[in-house]
Amino acid sequence: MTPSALRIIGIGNPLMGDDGLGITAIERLRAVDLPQAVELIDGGTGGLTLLHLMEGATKVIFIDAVVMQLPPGSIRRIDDLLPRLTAAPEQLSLHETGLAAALALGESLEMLPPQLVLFGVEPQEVAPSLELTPAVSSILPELVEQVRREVASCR
Amino acid sequence: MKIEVRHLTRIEGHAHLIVDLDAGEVRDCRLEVVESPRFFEGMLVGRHINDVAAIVARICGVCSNSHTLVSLAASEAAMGIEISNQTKRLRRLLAYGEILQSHLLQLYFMAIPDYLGVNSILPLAKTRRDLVSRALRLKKMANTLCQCIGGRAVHPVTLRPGGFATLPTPAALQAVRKEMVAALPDLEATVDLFLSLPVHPFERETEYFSLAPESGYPLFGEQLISSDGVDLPVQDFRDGVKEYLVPHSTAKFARLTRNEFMVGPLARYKNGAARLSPMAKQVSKALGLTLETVNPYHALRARLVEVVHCVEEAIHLIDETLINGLSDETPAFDIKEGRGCAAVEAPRGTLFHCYEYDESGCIIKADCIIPTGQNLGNIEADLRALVPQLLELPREEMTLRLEALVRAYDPCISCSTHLLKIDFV
Repeated sequence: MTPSALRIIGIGNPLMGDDGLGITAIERLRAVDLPQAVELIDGGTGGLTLLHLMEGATKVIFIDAVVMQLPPGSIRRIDDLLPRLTAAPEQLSLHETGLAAALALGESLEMLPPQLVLFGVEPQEVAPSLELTPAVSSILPELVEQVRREVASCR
Repeated sequence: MKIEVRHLTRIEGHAHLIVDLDAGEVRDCRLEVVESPRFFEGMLVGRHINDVAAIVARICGVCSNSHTLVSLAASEAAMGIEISNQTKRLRRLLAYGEILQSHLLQLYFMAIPDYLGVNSILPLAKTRRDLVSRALRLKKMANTLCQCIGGRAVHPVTLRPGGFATLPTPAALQAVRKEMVAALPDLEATVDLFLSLPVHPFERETEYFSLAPESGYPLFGEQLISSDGVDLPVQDFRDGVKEYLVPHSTAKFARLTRNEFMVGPLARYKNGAARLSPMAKQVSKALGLTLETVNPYHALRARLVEVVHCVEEAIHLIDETLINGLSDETPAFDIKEGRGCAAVEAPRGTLFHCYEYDESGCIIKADCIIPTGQNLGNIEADLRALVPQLLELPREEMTLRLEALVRAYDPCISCSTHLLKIDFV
């Protein structure tokens, strides 16, 4: 794959504790020797800007804090993302539309990359703080390894 | 009759709209704000001047550039740092980029559904694909401008106290210019679209507050003015803008000369229309805006006028930047203690940051006032005046009118998080 064809986008707000884990993960991945060329993107809380960040990619791997009702720090690889996003229309009503809304709109306009994968991590605390909680920071090496393997499997 | 809109949609953050009517009398009418962004100030205490902008850039995904720009200006005021004309030009370009990003998002994604009978932009992706594609093209143009100057579409990374760490290349500026010129037909179509949408009738004059149009249409500056005669240096803004608490809101309200006042596109228009770009003046005429306009629903059209203004001005400013050439300037300054306030016209209105630094260049105290907090009192005053005029309407239509009024202000209740929720079984 060419560099722009495979992208990893971390999402979240580093001022909001564990919500920023996607951003920290991108920083960690920058220090890792990835098996092939990948574009690493700090997507912040850019909302619909995500649509433009995905444009032209063959595959996008997202990393985001996701409330899944699992123990804090749990990692889940989700590749059937679109059918799961039932809350999307409601979320689109927010300014800072998150991933769900951006994907819902992208799907309606048939402008999404063919492959989308989300590495979701259950946050412990989403509240004003510049630090991740220990439950989440302790799983970062495992998260980075899972993403590295995902990249290795991409052809 | 009680109208209660829990978690009003198509605004940023969480707010409830409550209207309580008894035999045609308005007993209660309020916008309940259940969250507040003010905790970010505490995070700034103890931070070094060189680290402050990167933190404030994360406060909001919609106005990250405005927070960064005003934060740098406040720090520079505190330390007596002068910035070059090149830096001024580039910061102005970034401010235009952000107003474009935010206004286009509000107009197309937040406001238009109210007038086309849908709950969100999603159904329009199928039925009005031309419209949604145009919206995304325009938004992309704004993103490109922000990316070019700030290094990223949101949360800029190139700005430093005193200047820029990384400058845009002439080629990137030329590419943005090309994209902006190519967007002009889309802007024209947007004006036609808004001309075809009704403006709900309602008039309530209020106090209109913004930076003074001393060096152009309100954007940056040292002086604040209001339609009631306020003429106040930004450094003394606390002498004019008084915040207060109300029981139903975690966000502070604010008053100026009267109990409530308006900031944002319509206030800027009323204070600075004479300084609009030629094309924006034409568009404002076509859209029927005048200095006498006191209908808050007209904020949408004022927003569109500002979009046209920002595109036209940005094109000229890129030319000016290219003619002057870009030169590397290493921002150098002495760290010292001091206090500085700054204001910028963010998309939703006047945004203030005020910092006190100790002698090592770390913040002792931070104070921020966001535009939406200043508008909340005015929104409620509008609602109280509007409700009695809508009693003949069916409840659903009345609710829609009230929601559309709140949205006309484009309130940004909080700038925090966007957690994705998935039932994982």
